[in-house]
Amino acid sequence: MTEENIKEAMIKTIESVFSDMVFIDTLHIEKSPENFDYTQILYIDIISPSNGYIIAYLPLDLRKTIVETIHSTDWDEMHASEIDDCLLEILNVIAGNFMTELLGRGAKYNISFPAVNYDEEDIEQLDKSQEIYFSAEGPIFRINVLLNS
Amino acid sequence: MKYKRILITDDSATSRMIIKRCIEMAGFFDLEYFEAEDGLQGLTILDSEKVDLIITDLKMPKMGGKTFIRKLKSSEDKKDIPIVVVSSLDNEILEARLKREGVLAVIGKPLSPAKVFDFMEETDD
Repeated sequence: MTEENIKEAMIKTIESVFSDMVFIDTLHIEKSPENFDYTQILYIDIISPSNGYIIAYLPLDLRKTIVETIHSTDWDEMHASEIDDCLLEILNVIAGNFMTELLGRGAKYNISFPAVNYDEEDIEQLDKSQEIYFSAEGPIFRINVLLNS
Repeated sequence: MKYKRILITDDSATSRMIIKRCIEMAGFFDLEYFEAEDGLQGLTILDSEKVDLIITDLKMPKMGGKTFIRKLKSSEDKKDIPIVVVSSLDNEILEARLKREGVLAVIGKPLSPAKVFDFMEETDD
């Protein structure tokens, strides 16, 4: 399992999950954008066969697009808990599909429940994770992924 | 369509909504849905409601899908209700094990109307 394998699996996963769940075409961005801004961090632990995590850094406009597309409801009419539940479910599906993409369908793996992260300083080994940027038909978001061998 | 009353067990309200929407987009309307956040709530609902199909996630707090399925299969009045697992834990070994335990089908998330349609076509004899 190399960093390149992990990155490729994540790019493929993001493309398919966003296309299938929110009908958005995503494009991997090779170069880190100069002004990247986000309003929410979502986190899920990878427990086995390797330990690590997946973190999604989402800007407000993308959060709105995702939630409004899935729920067919205006963002302003939704409760904060419904919004979080929707975005966490996306991360949950991303994590499951990423592990399957990386390890194959026969592989066993275990992931935690996804959660909203309120303090980036709580995240360990952030400097060791891979930062992968995507454009979601305009808005930019970032995925950090770490898998310890 | 032989399934008219469906119990959906998933801790995510979004996931439950997606499942219902996919069923409708697959062309199956006028169904009655019951919703539970975990296996425990699912069992409580089944004590008072008769359903034709159970769609359940695996990873849920309080009582996860595997325990829920085991409890259903060991219950005289619930063991014959068809169970479909919809989960992000997409794994051939797990799928084989669940099918041995009596699960009718295992569908990976994200769910799509096409996946629902295929399942309904296959099982709607």
